[in-house]
Amino acid sequence: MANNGENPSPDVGGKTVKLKADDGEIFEVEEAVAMELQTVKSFFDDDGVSYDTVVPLLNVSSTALAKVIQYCRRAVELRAKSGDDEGANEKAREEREGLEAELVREESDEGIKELILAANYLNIKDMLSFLCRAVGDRIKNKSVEYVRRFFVLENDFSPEEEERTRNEVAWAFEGVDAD
Amino acid sequence: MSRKKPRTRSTLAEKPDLFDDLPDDLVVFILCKLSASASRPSDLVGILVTCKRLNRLGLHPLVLSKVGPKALAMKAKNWSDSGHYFLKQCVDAGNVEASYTLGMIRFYCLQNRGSGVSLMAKAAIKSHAPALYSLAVIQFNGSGGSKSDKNLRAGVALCGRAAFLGHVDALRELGHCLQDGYGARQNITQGRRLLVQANARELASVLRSCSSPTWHRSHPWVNSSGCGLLSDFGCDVPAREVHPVNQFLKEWFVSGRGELGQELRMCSHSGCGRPETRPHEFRRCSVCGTVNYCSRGCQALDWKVRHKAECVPMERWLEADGGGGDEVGDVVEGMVVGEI
Repeated sequence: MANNGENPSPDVGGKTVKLKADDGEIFEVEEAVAMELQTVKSFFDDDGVSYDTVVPLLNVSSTALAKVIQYCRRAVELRAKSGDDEGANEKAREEREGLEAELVREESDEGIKELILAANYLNIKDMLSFLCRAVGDRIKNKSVEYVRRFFVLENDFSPEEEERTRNEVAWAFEGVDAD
Repeated sequence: MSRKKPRTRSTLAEKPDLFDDLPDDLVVFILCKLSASASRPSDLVGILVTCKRLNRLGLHPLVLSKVGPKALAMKAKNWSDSGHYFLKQCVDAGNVEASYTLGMIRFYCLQNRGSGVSLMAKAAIKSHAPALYSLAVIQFNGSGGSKSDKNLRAGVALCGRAAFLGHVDALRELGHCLQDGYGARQNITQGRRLLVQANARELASVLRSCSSPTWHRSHPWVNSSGCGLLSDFGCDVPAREVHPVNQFLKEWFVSGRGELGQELRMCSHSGCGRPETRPHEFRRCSVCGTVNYCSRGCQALDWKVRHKAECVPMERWLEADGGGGDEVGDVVEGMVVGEI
């Protein structure tokens, strides 16, 4: 059904949107799910863009996009279930937190970084928020070396500068987790 | 804002650099989450030693403004100029907890009364309940000045605002003030009602936090053998959490890091940590005269938790300051909830 620049009709059940990852792979997703990705949403908000157009997402790998879509799909489902009921809301929130924990638990550090960049590019606020929180938890109270490896940083302090910086923060230290 | 770094790992040769390096704004976002959830200073501060970029981003005002009270909770024995400077940077970034923490430390430990009060006031203006309460205690006692610097009405007003925000100690203090007509017109029923409310709130918050699975892991300092505080409700719950800065004050003076002037005592309630700023500033238990407290709230709490069991009547003491209504006289029993 071609929709030339008009707003879609209210009964859009079953309408899908096509997203193309950086390697050319096409993902077909339900409209409600696709609209979770604010970047995609604003792509279609422009007049004259038909819903049949394939959205090019050149900065997102297909693996990352697959995971993002999977998360958004379940998030949309959970939101639809909860509605106004206080009890159901609480339960839905717990389920969503379980879903988030599951997603990050198995990810390698590289994988999480990739997801963060994808969520940032696609502008998905909730996902970016919990991913960053998960990264924060991962580097919490880890050794300096671990954090350097995680962010792939080189130590650019000179020995004197490093000594000075360590002294400046000595007040905080009482014991650090093993990597 | 993203910096391209030379890639030495050949396995990633096919991927664009963008995936291997996070731009500054995302790193700041991550560090904000970290600082907000950090439960110890070392959780966050280690980041600053990794490299210049993280040092710069870790000290970004946005990150500093989100640092929580637990991450600011340095040990008194580790206090140093650099620790002091870190707190100051957090204050400048607009961190309310840091304003309160540094205010308390400057007022009581470093004896810099003016700066301490103004920092606490900064937090109080942003509706920080503990800051409002601490300022009230200072007003009630005329801390940092003489007996004539006491301002009971101001104390009551500040307690009122803290109580409105749900601060349990302030509620309790206010209840006592109303019962005794101290700083406000006497209203016994209303005072009593506030005391009951304070106990109820305390029970609710302790039960709520007890049921959290991470509670015991993150509160190692809490005495797990329960306290008599809520025994009137028929349950024995662990003593409630103490704000990190009270812990700091206590360690500071007990360890001898800070000198307590001659004749100056500390508040006998173990969760308080406040010292007197002039001799005989605090009120003594009129029954035994061996313990003293900075506020009625501390007295009430300590009575229930500890002192009731050990208080032995000696000759009656009057507040050595002389007249002026300092006498602690009313033992706390009367307002115990069990009676109601």
